[in-house]
Amino acid sequence: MIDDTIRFQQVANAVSTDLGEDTAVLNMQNGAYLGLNVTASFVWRELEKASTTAQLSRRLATVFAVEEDVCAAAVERLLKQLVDAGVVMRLEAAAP
Amino acid sequence: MVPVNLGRPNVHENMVQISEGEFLFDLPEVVRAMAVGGHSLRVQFAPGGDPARGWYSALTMGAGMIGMQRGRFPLHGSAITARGRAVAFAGVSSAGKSTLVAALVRAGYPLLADDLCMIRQDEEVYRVGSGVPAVRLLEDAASHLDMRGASAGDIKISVPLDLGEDDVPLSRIYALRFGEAKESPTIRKLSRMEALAFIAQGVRLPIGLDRLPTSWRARNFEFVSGLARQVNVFELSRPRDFASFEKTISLLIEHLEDRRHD
Repeated sequence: MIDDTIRFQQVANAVSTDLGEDTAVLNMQNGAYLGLNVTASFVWRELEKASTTAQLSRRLATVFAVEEDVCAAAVERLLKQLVDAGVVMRLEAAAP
Repeated sequence: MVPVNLGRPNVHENMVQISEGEFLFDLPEVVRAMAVGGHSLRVQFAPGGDPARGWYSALTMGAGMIGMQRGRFPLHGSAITARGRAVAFAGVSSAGKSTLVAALVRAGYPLLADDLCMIRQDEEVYRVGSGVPAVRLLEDAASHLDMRGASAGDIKISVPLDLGEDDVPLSRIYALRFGEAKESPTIRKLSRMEALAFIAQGVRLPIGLDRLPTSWRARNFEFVSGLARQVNVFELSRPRDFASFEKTISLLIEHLEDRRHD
């Protein structure tokens, strides 16, 4: 079950560049590079603004014409990788 | 005298210390070298060390350090000029960079650089400066190519060769790897992402790009990703032994002359 109260966003210390359809991301804090394919690049660009997993999955499903639940699993995996790499941060839900 | 330590370095690990304007390289029992402000190199040889090895280490690492301070990218590679464009052959030590370049010089391509390609960005064009007029070869390679030279102070021989033009636009990089003994030589184009990873790992410094000061990282990232976008990078795989060496050179020349790969 996806926790849709958590939003994700690029950290300020990450820089990225387009390489054709792919994207390379650098964590300036530790110097690590990350390569993203075309769909991950789409999610990365969407993460310029804070987004939940469900929002990202819906947008990805629309653009790439894929089932939303299939997208959700992939987006969750990708977000975990991006958070672990230190280029995306989790934003806890604001208090009601 | 070259100091043992920099005052308050941003980076301090193994053989390297880096501060805002200084880059110190210390190869124990051989040489200590310090690049200052992108314009001067101070060198101090260790007592009893091999002077030839000391000079070679100081000059290659020193050039890399000064180049990096000037905003250039020191690629661990050797290069020739083909149809007015620089072509670099890059890879780790003993990947065969100098041997391939020496064979291509023998085939008529002018030498541009050996073991260190200093690349600078000129708007959308990346240019390679010329190195010293020689290539360093292992004895078996020199013998196979029928080239002669003087001892380079280590296991290599320095073979003097004429240089071609300086400051040549870079069109291609060949990433060198050895395949299985019986495999035929092959060339494949790397994706932009593979090219970026290869170039980033190919910096000719005693420290990786990821270990350089934080304030340099965005600039270096922009430089290597720009290179990966603008320059075609191919992987050349061939057997390590000399049995199919001429076949490799023929394949390479055919590939170099094919403008579709530019």
